[in-house]
Amino acid sequence: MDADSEALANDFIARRPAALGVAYESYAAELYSVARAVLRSASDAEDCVHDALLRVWRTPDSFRVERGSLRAFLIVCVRNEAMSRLRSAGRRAERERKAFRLEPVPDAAPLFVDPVEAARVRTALERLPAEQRVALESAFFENLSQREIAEKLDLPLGTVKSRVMLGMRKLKEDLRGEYAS
Amino acid sequence: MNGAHVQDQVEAYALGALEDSERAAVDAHIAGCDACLQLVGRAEETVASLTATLPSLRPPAGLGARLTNSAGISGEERPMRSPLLRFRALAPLATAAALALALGGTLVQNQSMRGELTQENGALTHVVHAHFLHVTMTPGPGEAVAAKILFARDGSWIYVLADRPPEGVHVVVTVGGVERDLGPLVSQGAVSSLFADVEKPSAVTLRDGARTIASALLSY
Repeated sequence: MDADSEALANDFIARRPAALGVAYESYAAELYSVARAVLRSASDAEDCVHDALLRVWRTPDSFRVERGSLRAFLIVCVRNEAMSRLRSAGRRAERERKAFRLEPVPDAAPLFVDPVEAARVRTALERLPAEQRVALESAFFENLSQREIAEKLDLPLGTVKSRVMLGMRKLKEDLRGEYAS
Repeated sequence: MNGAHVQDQVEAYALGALEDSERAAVDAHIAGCDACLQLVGRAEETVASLTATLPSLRPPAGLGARLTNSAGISGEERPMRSPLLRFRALAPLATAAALALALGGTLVQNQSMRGELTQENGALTHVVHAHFLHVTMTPGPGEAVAAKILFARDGSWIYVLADRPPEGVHVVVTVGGVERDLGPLVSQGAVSSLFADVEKPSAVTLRDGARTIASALLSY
């Protein structure tokens, strides 16, 4: 973690008022993009980012320095909030969407995809054993739980859990060990 | 500490792939177990890395103010601008800067760009995005540095990034068979970088004195 990120994490933990705005400004595009990737709707994504960050901010000890990266923590919090919304209130709408074969159309142009970082991550994904990659991509890109993945792939739950765990660990090692694609 | 260690569940936890009851059990455990909390944090880093594959979208303009208002934070306590620019944001900033600098025609290191450019350059960035390429540099004999070059399709600028290169490494471009030293890479923590206006170089080399750290040929 660089010095700026560490200082921000410490300010966030101490709940110094400016830290919430700084954290938002620093990671806003990533947080919003993650929410949009799950929820598709701009207004739902906005509410999701707002509610997730506010809950984290208002919950003492929601983030501790031992956890590591504030950025990664906030990204995961927003994504979890988005998936929770998708899995509850969104289920009916998603079923209706599929029934009518309507594909949600993004209503905002992409700001930017860093081709270098995206290629590095995609390459690392492609290097995973196929069965681990499928399990991991089902979880990340299709927002499925391990139980849902097991149902989709018609596999024992234990097998899916193992593939998710091993795939993530291999991906972590791959991304940490190699900067360039 | 609450319950058994959860090291086998941290990856699924970070992915949001646990059932609610499993998630609650992990939450309860890591509240009192720093060892498992650290494992969760590392798994969260991996999930955060995956977001690089998603389209990056501009958040609504009023969301930051809405958030700080909801938190009861006054205007005086809000930041004017983020002090952090993630590595991921540097490339579009470089492209936006390239267009701006093409008008001014000066050599600028990204240190100064960081102070002048914000994500408000997004529209400009989007336009310029279609006009650059990238290449991985090949390490020199016995070298292990990892480095990339983003460069304009028209050869008007390059943006060199290297992961923890030796200190004092210079960027040397070859233009028309003649080498030109653009100066040292500037450290941004783990990643060092240099942005420069150039005239369609055929090659870029990272040099430490006479030692070649890495090099790449640029094809347009």
